[in-house]
Amino acid sequence: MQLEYLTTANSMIMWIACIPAVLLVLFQAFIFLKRTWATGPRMGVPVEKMKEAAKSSLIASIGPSIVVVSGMFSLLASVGGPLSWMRLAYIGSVMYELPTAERAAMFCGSTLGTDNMTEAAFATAAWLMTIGCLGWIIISALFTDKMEVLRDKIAGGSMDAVAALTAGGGIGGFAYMVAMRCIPFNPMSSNLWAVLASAVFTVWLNLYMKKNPTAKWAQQFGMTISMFIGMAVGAIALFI
Amino acid sequence: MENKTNVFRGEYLPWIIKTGRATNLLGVLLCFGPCLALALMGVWPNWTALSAAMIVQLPGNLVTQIREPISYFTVLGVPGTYMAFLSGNISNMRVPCASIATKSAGYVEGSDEGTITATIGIAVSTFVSTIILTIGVILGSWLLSILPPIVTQILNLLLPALFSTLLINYGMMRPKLFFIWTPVCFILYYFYIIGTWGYGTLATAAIPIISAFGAMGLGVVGSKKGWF
Repeated sequence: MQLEYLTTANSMIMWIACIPAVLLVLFQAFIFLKRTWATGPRMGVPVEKMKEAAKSSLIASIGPSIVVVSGMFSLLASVGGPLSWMRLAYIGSVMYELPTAERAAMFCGSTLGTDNMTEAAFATAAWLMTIGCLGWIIISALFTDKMEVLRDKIAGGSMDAVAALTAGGGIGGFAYMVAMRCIPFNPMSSNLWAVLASAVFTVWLNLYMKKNPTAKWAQQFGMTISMFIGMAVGAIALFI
Repeated sequence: MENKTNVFRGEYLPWIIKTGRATNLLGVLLCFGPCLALALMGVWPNWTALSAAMIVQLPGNLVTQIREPISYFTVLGVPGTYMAFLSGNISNMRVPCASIATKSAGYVEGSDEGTITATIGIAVSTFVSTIILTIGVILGSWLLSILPPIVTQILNLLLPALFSTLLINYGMMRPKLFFIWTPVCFILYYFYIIGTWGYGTLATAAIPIISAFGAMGLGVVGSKKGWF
Protein backbone atom coordinates (compact mmCIF):
# COMPACT_ATOMS: atom_id res chain seq x y z
CA MET A 1 0.00 0.00 0.00
CA GLN A 2 1.21 3.52 -0.70
CA LEU A 3 2.40 5.46 2.32
CA GLU A 4 -0.20 7.93 3.54
CA TYR A 5 1.90 11.06 3.09
CA LEU A 6 2.67 10.04 -0.50
CA THR A 7 -1.06 10.07 -1.30
CA THR A 8 -1.03 13.76 -0.31
CA ALA A 9 2.28 14.33 -2.08
CA ASN A 10 0.94 12.85 -5.35
CA SER A 11 -2.51 14.47 -5.18
CA MET A 12 -3.95 16.41 -8.11
CA ILE A 13 -3.83 19.70 -6.19
CA MET A 14 -0.05 19.27 -5.73
CA TRP A 15 0.36 18.80 -9.49
CA ILE A 16 -1.72 21.91 -10.17
CA ALA A 17 0.36 23.91 -7.67
CA CYS A 18 3.63 22.89 -9.35
CA ILE A 19 2.66 23.55 -12.98
CA PRO A 20 2.86 27.41 -12.97
CA ALA A 21 6.49 27.38 -11.79
CA VAL A 22 7.60 24.99 -14.54
CA LEU A 23 5.63 26.96 -17.12
CA LEU A 24 7.42 30.14 -15.99
CA VAL A 25 10.80 28.50 -16.69
CA LEU A 26 9.66 27.56 -20.21
CA PHE A 27 8.08 30.97 -20.79
CA GLN A 28 11.25 32.83 -19.79
CA ALA A 29 13.45 30.58 -21.94
CA PHE A 30 11.07 31.11 -24.87
CA ILE A 31 10.93 34.92 -24.73
CA PHE A 32 14.69 35.19 -24.14
CA LEU A 33 15.36 32.87 -27.08
CA LYS A 34 13.00 34.82 -29.33
CA ARG A 35 14.60 38.15 -28.48
CA THR A 36 18.12 36.75 -28.77
CA TRP A 37 17.37 35.16 -32.13
CA ALA A 38 16.19 38.55 -33.41
CA THR A 39 19.15 40.43 -31.90
CA GLY A 40 21.98 38.09 -33.00
CA PRO A 41 21.98 38.95 -36.71
CA ARG A 42 21.87 42.69 -35.90
CA MET A 43 25.14 42.18 -34.00
CA GLY A 44 26.72 40.31 -36.88
CA VAL A 45 26.06 36.80 -35.53
CA PRO A 46 24.86 34.82 -38.57
CA VAL A 47 21.75 32.65 -38.25
CA GLU A 48 23.82 29.57 -39.23
CA LYS A 49 26.06 30.07 -36.17
CA MET A 50 23.04 30.47 -33.92
CA LYS A 51 21.61 27.26 -35.36
CA GLU A 52 24.89 25.49 -34.68
CA ALA A 53 24.84 26.73 -31.08
CA ALA A 54 21.26 25.49 -30.65
CA LYS A 55 21.99 22.10 -32.21
CA SER A 56 25.08 21.36 -30.16
CA SER A 57 23.36 22.43 -26.94
CA LEU A 58 20.38 20.22 -27.78
CA ILE A 59 22.60 17.18 -28.18
CA ALA A 60 24.72 18.02 -25.15
CA SER A 61 21.64 18.44 -22.89
CA ILE A 62 20.35 14.92 -23.41
CA GLY A 63 23.00 13.07 -21.36
CA PRO A 64 22.91 15.33 -18.28
CA SER A 65 19.07 15.41 -18.43
CA ILE A 66 18.98 11.61 -18.22
CA VAL A 67 21.34 11.80 -15.23
CA VAL A 68 18.93 14.23 -13.56
CA VAL A 69 16.03 11.86 -14.27
CA SER A 70 17.92 8.94 -12.76
CA GLY A 71 18.61 11.08 -9.68
CA MET A 72 14.95 12.05 -9.64
CA PHE A 73 13.92 8.43 -9.05
CA SER A 74 15.17 8.51 -5.48
CA LEU A 75 13.45 11.85 -4.89
CA LEU A 76 10.27 10.47 -6.50
CA ALA A 77 10.08 7.66 -3.98
CA SER A 78 10.65 10.13 -1.12
CA VAL A 79 8.61 13.26 -1.82
CA GLY A 80 6.28 12.16 -4.64
CA GLY A 81 5.97 13.13 -8.31
CA PRO A 82 4.85 16.77 -8.37
CA LEU A 83 7.41 18.14 -5.93
CA SER A 84 10.29 16.17 -7.51
CA TRP A 85 9.32 17.40 -10.95
CA MET A 86 9.03 21.02 -9.90
CA ARG A 87 12.18 21.06 -7.75
CA LEU A 88 14.33 19.64 -10.54
CA ALA A 89 12.85 21.68 -13.40
CA TYR A 90 12.82 24.83 -11.32
CA ILE A 91 15.80 26.32 -9.42
CA GLY A 92 16.85 23.09 -7.73
CA SER A 93 19.33 20.38 -8.53
CA VAL A 94 19.55 16.69 -7.62
CA MET A 95 22.63 17.24 -5.49
CA TYR A 96 20.76 19.73 -3.31
CA GLU A 97 17.15 18.56 -3.06
CA LEU A 98 17.42 15.09 -1.58
CA PRO A 99 19.73 15.99 1.35
CA THR A 100 17.47 18.97 2.12
CA ALA A 101 14.33 16.81 2.22
CA GLU A 102 16.17 14.26 4.35
CA ARG A 103 17.30 16.93 6.80
CA ALA A 104 13.76 18.34 7.20
CA ALA A 105 12.38 14.84 7.83
CA MET A 106 15.16 14.13 10.31
CA PHE A 107 14.33 17.23 12.36
CA CYS A 108 10.74 15.96 12.55
CA GLY A 109 11.99 12.60 13.79
CA SER A 110 10.95 10.89 10.53
CA THR A 111 12.74 9.13 7.69
CA LEU A 112 11.86 9.75 4.04
CA GLY A 113 10.03 6.94 2.28
CA THR A 114 9.15 5.02 5.45
CA ASP A 115 5.89 4.69 7.37
CA ASN A 116 7.10 6.92 10.22
CA MET A 117 7.06 9.82 7.74
CA THR A 118 4.09 12.01 8.65
CA GLU A 119 2.25 14.55 6.52
CA ALA A 120 3.66 17.31 8.74
CA ALA A 121 7.18 16.01 8.11
CA PHE A 122 6.48 16.04 4.38
CA ALA A 123 5.19 19.61 4.61
CA THR A 124 8.33 20.56 6.56
CA ALA A 125 10.44 19.10 3.75
CA ALA A 126 8.44 21.02 1.12
CA TRP A 127 8.86 24.28 3.06
CA LEU A 128 12.57 23.78 3.70
CA MET A 129 13.22 22.96 0.04
CA THR A 130 11.31 26.12 -0.94
CA ILE A 131 12.92 28.51 1.55
CA GLY A 132 16.36 27.01 0.98
CA CYS A 133 16.34 27.74 -2.74
CA LEU A 134 15.00 31.30 -2.50
CA GLY A 135 18.52 32.74 -2.28
CA TRP A 136 19.45 31.59 -5.79
CA ILE A 137 16.50 33.24 -7.45
CA ILE A 138 16.48 36.40 -5.32
CA ILE A 139 20.21 37.00 -5.80
CA SER A 140 19.93 36.40 -9.54
CA ALA A 141 16.86 38.66 -9.79
CA LEU A 142 18.45 41.55 -7.94
CA PHE A 143 22.16 41.37 -8.70
CA THR A 144 22.69 39.91 -12.19
CA ASP A 145 22.98 43.35 -13.80
CA LYS A 146 25.49 44.43 -11.17
CA MET A 147 27.72 41.45 -11.93
CA GLU A 148 28.32 42.79 -15.41
CA VAL A 149 29.58 46.05 -13.87
CA LEU A 150 31.64 44.14 -11.29
CA ARG A 151 33.22 41.95 -13.97
CA ASP A 152 34.16 44.95 -16.12
CA LYS A 153 35.65 46.67 -13.09
CA ILE A 154 37.75 43.65 -12.13
CA ALA A 155 38.94 43.13 -15.68
CA GLY A 156 39.55 46.87 -16.12
CA GLY A 157 38.44 46.81 -19.75
CA SER A 158 40.99 44.18 -20.78
CA MET A 159 39.48 41.40 -22.90
CA ASP A 160 42.37 39.13 -21.94
CA ALA A 161 41.57 39.65 -18.26
CA VAL A 162 37.88 38.79 -18.91
CA ALA A 163 39.03 35.57 -20.61
CA ALA A 164 41.37 34.81 -17.69
CA LEU A 165 38.52 35.43 -15.26
CA THR A 166 36.31 33.00 -17.22
CA ALA A 167 39.05 30.40 -17.37
CA GLY A 168 39.78 30.87 -13.66
CA GLY A 169 36.09 30.45 -12.72
CA GLY A 170 35.96 27.27 -14.79
CA ILE A 171 39.25 25.84 -13.51
CA GLY A 172 38.51 26.60 -9.84
CA GLY A 173 34.87 25.49 -9.94
CA PHE A 174 35.37 22.26 -11.84
CA ALA A 175 38.72 21.29 -10.25
CA TYR A 176 36.87 21.24 -6.93
CA MET A 177 34.08 19.06 -8.34
CA VAL A 178 36.61 16.67 -9.89
CA ALA A 179 38.54 16.56 -6.58
CA MET A 180 35.31 15.61 -4.77
CA ARG A 181 34.99 12.57 -7.02
CA CYS A 182 38.66 11.45 -7.04
CA ILE A 183 39.65 11.86 -3.37
CA PRO A 184 40.25 9.71 -1.38
CA PHE A 185 42.42 8.25 -4.11
CA ASN A 186 41.49 4.72 -5.14
CA PRO A 187 43.05 3.31 -8.33
CA MET A 188 39.98 1.11 -8.94
CA SER A 189 37.44 3.91 -8.56
CA SER A 190 35.10 4.15 -11.55
CA ASN A 191 34.81 7.91 -10.99
CA LEU A 192 38.60 8.27 -11.28
CA TRP A 193 38.67 6.34 -14.57
CA ALA A 194 35.78 8.35 -15.97
CA VAL A 195 37.65 11.56 -15.08
CA LEU A 196 40.95 10.36 -16.59
CA ALA A 197 39.41 9.06 -19.82
CA SER A 198 37.49 12.29 -20.44
CA ALA A 199 40.55 14.36 -19.59
CA VAL A 200 42.79 12.51 -22.06
CA PHE A 201 40.16 12.67 -24.81
CA THR A 202 39.56 16.39 -24.20
CA VAL A 203 43.28 17.21 -24.39
CA TRP A 204 43.44 15.32 -27.70
CA LEU A 205 40.26 17.02 -28.92
CA ASN A 206 41.57 20.50 -28.13
CA LEU A 207 44.85 19.78 -29.95
CA TYR A 208 42.93 18.32 -32.89
CA MET A 209 40.72 21.41 -33.06
CA LYS A 210 43.76 23.67 -33.09
CA LYS A 211 45.08 21.82 -36.14
CA ASN A 212 41.65 21.54 -37.78
CA PRO A 213 39.76 24.67 -36.77
CA THR A 214 36.98 23.92 -39.25
CA ALA A 215 36.22 20.40 -37.93
CA LYS A 216 32.51 20.81 -37.26
CA TRP A 217 31.96 17.47 -35.54
CA ALA A 218 34.62 18.32 -32.93
CA GLN A 219 33.08 21.71 -32.17
CA GLN A 220 29.52 20.43 -31.96
CA PHE A 221 29.82 16.97 -30.47
CA GLY A 222 33.32 16.88 -28.94
CA MET A 223 32.25 17.53 -25.34
CA THR A 224 29.31 15.15 -25.56
CA ILE A 225 31.53 12.40 -26.99
CA SER A 226 34.04 13.02 -24.21
CA MET A 227 31.32 12.64 -21.59
CA PHE A 228 30.24 9.28 -22.99
CA ILE A 229 33.83 8.03 -23.37
CA GLY A 230 34.38 8.86 -19.70
CA MET A 231 31.19 7.03 -18.76
CA ALA A 232 32.14 3.96 -20.83
CA VAL A 233 35.66 3.70 -19.37
CA GLY A 234 34.31 4.27 -15.86
CA ALA A 235 31.73 1.53 -16.46
CA ILE A 236 34.50 -0.94 -17.38
CA ALA A 237 36.18 -0.10 -14.06
CA LEU A 238 32.85 -0.86 -12.35
CA PHE A 239 32.89 -4.39 -13.70
CA ILE A 240 36.55 -5.18 -13.00
CA MET B 1 25.14 47.00 -40.14
CA GLU B 2 24.03 48.79 -37.00
CA ASN B 3 26.54 49.48 -34.27
CA LYS B 4 26.66 46.14 -32.49
CA THR B 5 27.60 47.59 -29.11
CA ASN B 6 24.59 49.90 -29.24
CA VAL B 7 22.29 47.05 -30.15
CA PHE B 8 23.70 44.85 -27.37
CA ARG B 9 24.18 47.35 -24.55
CA GLY B 10 21.57 49.94 -25.49
CA GLU B 11 18.61 47.71 -26.41
CA TYR B 12 19.14 44.03 -25.77
CA LEU B 13 20.64 44.02 -22.25
CA PRO B 14 18.21 46.58 -20.76
CA TRP B 15 15.28 44.50 -22.06
CA ILE B 16 16.82 41.29 -20.71
CA ILE B 17 17.47 42.86 -17.30
CA LYS B 18 13.93 44.27 -17.03
CA THR B 19 12.28 41.02 -18.14
CA GLY B 20 14.70 38.75 -16.27
CA ARG B 21 14.21 40.58 -13.00
CA ALA B 22 10.41 40.56 -13.36
CA THR B 23 10.21 36.85 -14.25
CA ASN B 24 12.62 35.80 -11.51
CA LEU B 25 10.78 37.83 -8.87
CA LEU B 26 7.52 36.23 -10.04
CA GLY B 27 9.40 32.95 -9.65
CA VAL B 28 9.92 33.70 -5.95
CA LEU B 29 6.13 33.74 -5.51
CA LEU B 30 5.48 30.62 -7.61
CA CYS B 31 8.06 28.77 -5.53
CA PHE B 32 5.53 28.65 -2.71
CA GLY B 33 2.92 26.83 -4.86
CA PRO B 34 3.37 23.41 -3.19
CA CYS B 35 3.41 24.98 0.30
CA LEU B 36 0.16 26.78 -0.51
CA ALA B 37 -1.42 23.59 -1.88
CA LEU B 38 -0.50 21.72 1.30
CA ALA B 39 -1.93 24.54 3.42
CA LEU B 40 -5.19 24.35 1.44
CA MET B 41 -5.32 20.65 2.28
CA GLY B 42 -4.78 21.56 5.93
CA VAL B 43 -1.25 20.13 6.04
CA TRP B 44 1.19 22.40 7.85
CA PRO B 45 4.86 21.90 8.64
CA ASN B 46 6.22 21.31 12.11
CA TRP B 47 7.37 24.90 12.66
CA THR B 48 9.88 24.11 15.40
CA ALA B 49 11.55 21.45 13.27
CA LEU B 50 11.47 23.78 10.25
CA SER B 51 13.17 26.61 12.17
CA ALA B 52 15.86 24.26 13.49
CA ALA B 53 16.45 22.77 10.03
CA MET B 54 16.65 26.24 8.52
CA ILE B 55 19.35 27.31 11.00
CA VAL B 56 21.45 24.34 9.91
CA GLN B 57 20.61 24.46 6.22
CA LEU B 58 20.56 28.11 5.23
CA PRO B 59 24.13 29.32 5.96
CA GLY B 60 25.62 26.66 3.64
CA ASN B 61 23.03 27.40 0.97
CA LEU B 62 23.65 31.11 1.17
CA VAL B 63 27.37 30.66 0.60
CA THR B 64 26.68 28.58 -2.53
CA GLN B 65 24.04 31.08 -3.62
CA ILE B 66 26.56 33.92 -3.55
CA ARG B 67 29.47 31.93 -5.00
CA GLU B 68 27.67 30.32 -7.95
CA PRO B 69 26.35 33.42 -9.73
CA ILE B 70 29.75 35.12 -9.44
CA SER B 71 31.84 32.17 -10.60
CA TYR B 72 29.56 31.14 -13.49
CA PHE B 73 28.59 34.62 -14.58
CA THR B 74 31.32 35.03 -17.16
CA VAL B 75 30.25 31.86 -18.98
CA LEU B 76 26.50 32.34 -18.62
CA GLY B 77 26.29 36.06 -19.39
CA VAL B 78 23.47 38.33 -18.15
CA PRO B 79 20.51 36.53 -19.85
CA GLY B 80 21.98 33.13 -19.05
CA THR B 81 22.34 33.96 -15.36
CA TYR B 82 18.64 34.85 -15.07
CA MET B 83 17.65 31.66 -16.91
CA ALA B 84 20.11 29.31 -15.21
CA PHE B 85 19.14 30.36 -11.70
CA LEU B 86 15.43 30.08 -12.50
CA SER B 87 15.74 26.64 -14.05
CA GLY B 88 18.45 25.17 -11.79
CA ASN B 89 20.89 22.36 -12.60
CA ILE B 90 23.52 25.02 -13.16
CA SER B 91 26.90 23.30 -13.01
CA ASN B 92 25.71 19.98 -14.43
CA MET B 93 23.75 21.37 -17.39
CA ARG B 94 23.44 25.13 -17.98
CA VAL B 95 27.16 25.98 -17.73
CA PRO B 96 28.23 23.08 -20.00
CA CYS B 97 25.51 23.91 -22.56
CA ALA B 98 26.39 27.61 -22.59
CA SER B 99 30.02 26.69 -23.09
CA ILE B 100 29.35 24.08 -25.78
CA ALA B 101 27.00 26.39 -27.71
CA THR B 102 29.50 29.26 -27.67
CA LYS B 103 32.42 27.03 -28.64
CA SER B 104 30.54 25.34 -31.46
CA ALA B 105 29.71 28.74 -32.97
CA GLY B 106 33.36 29.75 -32.60
CA TYR B 107 32.94 32.74 -30.27
CA VAL B 108 34.82 33.70 -27.11
CA GLU B 109 33.04 33.06 -23.82
CA GLY B 110 32.23 36.31 -22.05
CA SER B 111 32.19 38.39 -25.27
CA ASP B 112 28.97 40.04 -26.51
CA GLU B 113 28.58 37.47 -29.32
CA GLY B 114 29.37 34.72 -26.83
CA THR B 115 26.49 35.96 -24.69
CA ILE B 116 24.12 35.54 -27.65
CA THR B 117 25.20 31.94 -28.28
CA ALA B 118 25.29 31.09 -24.55
CA THR B 119 21.70 32.36 -24.22
CA ILE B 120 20.60 30.18 -27.12
CA GLY B 121 22.39 27.19 -25.60
CA ILE B 122 20.80 27.66 -22.18
CA ALA B 123 17.30 28.21 -23.60
CA VAL B 124 17.54 25.06 -25.71
CA SER B 125 18.90 23.02 -22.80
CA THR B 126 16.01 24.29 -20.65
CA PHE B 127 13.47 22.98 -23.18
CA VAL B 128 15.26 19.64 -23.51
CA SER B 129 15.70 19.04 -19.79
CA THR B 130 12.13 20.07 -18.94
CA ILE B 131 10.73 17.71 -21.57
CA ILE B 132 12.94 14.80 -20.46
CA LEU B 133 12.14 15.45 -16.79
CA THR B 134 8.42 15.56 -17.51
CA ILE B 135 8.57 12.25 -19.38
CA GLY B 136 10.77 10.90 -16.59
CA VAL B 137 8.37 11.83 -13.82
CA ILE B 138 5.43 10.31 -15.69
CA LEU B 139 7.22 7.06 -16.52
CA GLY B 140 9.37 7.26 -13.39
CA SER B 141 7.93 4.60 -11.14
CA TRP B 142 7.57 2.17 -14.03
CA LEU B 143 11.12 2.75 -15.27
CA LEU B 144 12.38 2.47 -11.72
CA SER B 145 11.03 -1.05 -11.51
CA ILE B 146 12.47 -2.29 -14.82
CA LEU B 147 15.95 -0.70 -14.82
CA PRO B 148 18.63 -2.74 -13.08
CA PRO B 149 20.55 -0.64 -10.49
CA ILE B 150 23.76 -0.96 -12.51
CA VAL B 151 22.24 1.32 -15.19
CA THR B 152 21.85 4.15 -12.69
CA GLN B 153 25.38 3.52 -11.41
CA ILE B 154 26.74 3.79 -14.96
CA LEU B 155 24.68 6.90 -15.75
CA ASN B 156 26.05 8.55 -12.62
CA LEU B 157 29.51 8.37 -14.23
CA LEU B 158 28.41 10.97 -16.81
CA LEU B 159 28.81 13.74 -14.23
CA PRO B 160 32.48 13.18 -13.27
CA ALA B 161 33.23 12.76 -16.99
CA LEU B 162 31.46 16.04 -17.77
CA PHE B 163 33.23 17.95 -14.98
CA SER B 164 36.58 16.59 -16.11
CA THR B 165 35.87 17.60 -19.72
CA LEU B 166 35.01 21.14 -18.64
CA LEU B 167 38.04 21.38 -16.34
CA ILE B 168 40.37 20.46 -19.21
CA ASN B 169 38.62 22.82 -21.62
CA TYR B 170 39.05 25.75 -19.27
CA GLY B 171 42.52 24.51 -18.37
CA MET B 172 43.62 24.63 -21.99
CA MET B 173 42.55 28.27 -22.16
CA ARG B 174 45.16 29.04 -19.44
CA PRO B 175 47.46 25.99 -19.04
CA LYS B 176 49.81 27.55 -16.46
CA LEU B 177 46.89 28.55 -14.26
CA PHE B 178 45.52 25.00 -14.62
CA PHE B 179 48.80 23.38 -13.53
CA ILE B 180 49.18 25.70 -10.57
CA TRP B 181 45.60 25.72 -9.36
CA THR B 182 44.23 22.19 -9.91
CA PRO B 183 46.71 20.62 -7.44
CA VAL B 184 45.83 23.38 -4.96
CA CYS B 185 42.14 22.42 -5.16
CA PHE B 186 42.97 18.72 -4.75
CA ILE B 187 45.19 19.40 -1.72
CA LEU B 188 42.57 21.69 -0.13
CA TYR B 189 39.91 19.04 -0.58
CA TYR B 190 42.20 16.29 0.73
CA PHE B 191 42.89 18.22 3.92
CA TYR B 192 39.19 18.92 4.24
CA ILE B 193 38.16 15.24 4.12
CA ILE B 194 40.87 14.09 6.51
CA GLY B 195 39.42 16.65 8.89
CA THR B 196 42.33 19.09 9.15
CA TRP B 197 39.94 22.07 9.21
CA GLY B 198 37.10 20.35 11.03
CA TYR B 199 33.81 19.52 9.37
CA GLY B 200 31.87 22.66 10.28
CA THR B 201 29.85 24.76 7.87
CA LEU B 202 32.73 27.22 7.65
CA ALA B 203 35.20 24.64 6.30
CA THR B 204 32.59 23.13 3.96
CA ALA B 205 31.87 26.57 2.55
CA ALA B 206 35.43 27.86 2.47
CA ILE B 207 36.95 25.21 0.18
CA PRO B 208 34.76 25.76 -2.91
CA ILE B 209 35.00 29.53 -2.39
CA ILE B 210 38.80 29.50 -2.20
CA SER B 211 38.90 27.14 -5.21
CA ALA B 212 36.76 29.34 -7.45
CA PHE B 213 37.68 32.86 -6.37
CA GLY B 214 41.36 32.00 -5.91
CA ALA B 215 41.59 30.82 -9.51
CA MET B 216 39.68 33.85 -10.79
CA GLY B 217 41.85 36.26 -8.82
CA LEU B 218 45.08 34.58 -9.86
CA GLY B 219 43.84 34.49 -13.47
CA VAL B 220 43.15 38.24 -13.58
CA VAL B 221 46.37 39.20 -11.77
CA GLY B 222 48.32 36.82 -14.02
CA SER B 223 46.74 38.31 -17.13
CA LYS B 224 47.55 41.87 -16.05
CA LYS B 225 51.13 41.00 -15.11
CA GLY B 226 51.61 38.92 -18.24
CA TRP B 227 52.36 35.66 -16.38
CA PHE B 228 49.95 33.41 -18.28
